[in-house]
Amino acid sequence: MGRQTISTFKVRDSIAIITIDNPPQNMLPDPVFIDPELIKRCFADDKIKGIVIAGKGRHFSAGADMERLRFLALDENRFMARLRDGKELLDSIEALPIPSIAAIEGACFGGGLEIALACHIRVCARNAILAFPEVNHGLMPGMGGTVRLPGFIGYGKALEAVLSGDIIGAERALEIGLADHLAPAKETLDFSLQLMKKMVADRPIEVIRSIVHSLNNSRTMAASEAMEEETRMFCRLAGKLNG
Amino acid sequence: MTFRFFEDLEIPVVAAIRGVCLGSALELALFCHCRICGEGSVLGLPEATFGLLPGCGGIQKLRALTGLPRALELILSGTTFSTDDALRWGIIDSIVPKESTVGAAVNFIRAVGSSYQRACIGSYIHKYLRRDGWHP
Repeated sequence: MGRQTISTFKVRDSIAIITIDNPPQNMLPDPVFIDPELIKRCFADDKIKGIVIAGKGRHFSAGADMERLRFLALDENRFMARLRDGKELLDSIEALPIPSIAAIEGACFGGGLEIALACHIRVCARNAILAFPEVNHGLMPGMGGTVRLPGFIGYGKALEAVLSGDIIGAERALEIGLADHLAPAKETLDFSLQLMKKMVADRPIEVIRSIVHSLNNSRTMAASEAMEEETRMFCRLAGKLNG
Repeated sequence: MTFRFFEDLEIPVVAAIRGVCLGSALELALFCHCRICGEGSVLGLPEATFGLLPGCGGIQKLRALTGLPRALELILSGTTFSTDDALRWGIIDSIVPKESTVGAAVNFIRAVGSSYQRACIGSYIHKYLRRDGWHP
């Protein structure tokens, strides 16, 4: 197997489940929280139709371990490289051609929230709390958080969240578009798996990949280009209907 | 000619939706500058349920209106949704009594037409009604 990380990976009913497993708060000792090879596998494996990321136990992830971060920051070059690897990992999760859901219980802070923002959909437990507390330590989100957050909640609210470091409760998160669904506490993983099944269970993998790919295009391409690509994919799928 | 033709027109284009508005029909409506729905209308992009995807630009338009997470869920699941949900999610602009759907659309266009000089209607549309969100 690939490199040792704090997360576990298993596939159940064609859905990959990544569990951030560093109890009690699932802090992230390293920006690379899962073996990137496993994410690469999800690009190509026809048997994996979706990904759900959850935290082990009561919390999603409380983010970076400050002690460990101070230690890593002593060697600037090495630290930069680690952060870059972490950022690349989140970029690859965001670019996956299959849907991804973050199932968020309890604390989802800093790096944890950056992971959740790289997913397509966020399901929050009613007791979930989300924040970018970096500013309280004289820092800022370092793996794309400031770039991704405005896309979901708008520039003004993003500025407020990142500069204040304030905690956002689940209800408020739903209201502003940071969360897409609320689920009862302890049931977010089941809820997320149900939601994923509703989206992918009866769909051939080519249909899933085409749709997600097209939606991902809307973030990276001009509208006209993305629409042309969409029509091409439609024709390719339509050609298969008779065969 | 594609649906973009309607979006690019510099006069207001309003979709007056009543009853079912599914698949390409909803795609067409998404390319209008504004969507007015009769009560009880049913909307949806069910293409994925028969092995296809919305292929006339609907994926990009829905995403621009309601954001990637909801668009992904609605398109992949292919489930239909109500006007109340559509309004809440930003997919439509208003709900009116069923029998006055077309009348409401006409009134809307009259209001836009009378409050602005014809010459500036185009820029009005592009500034206020075209909610692309593609190039924020």
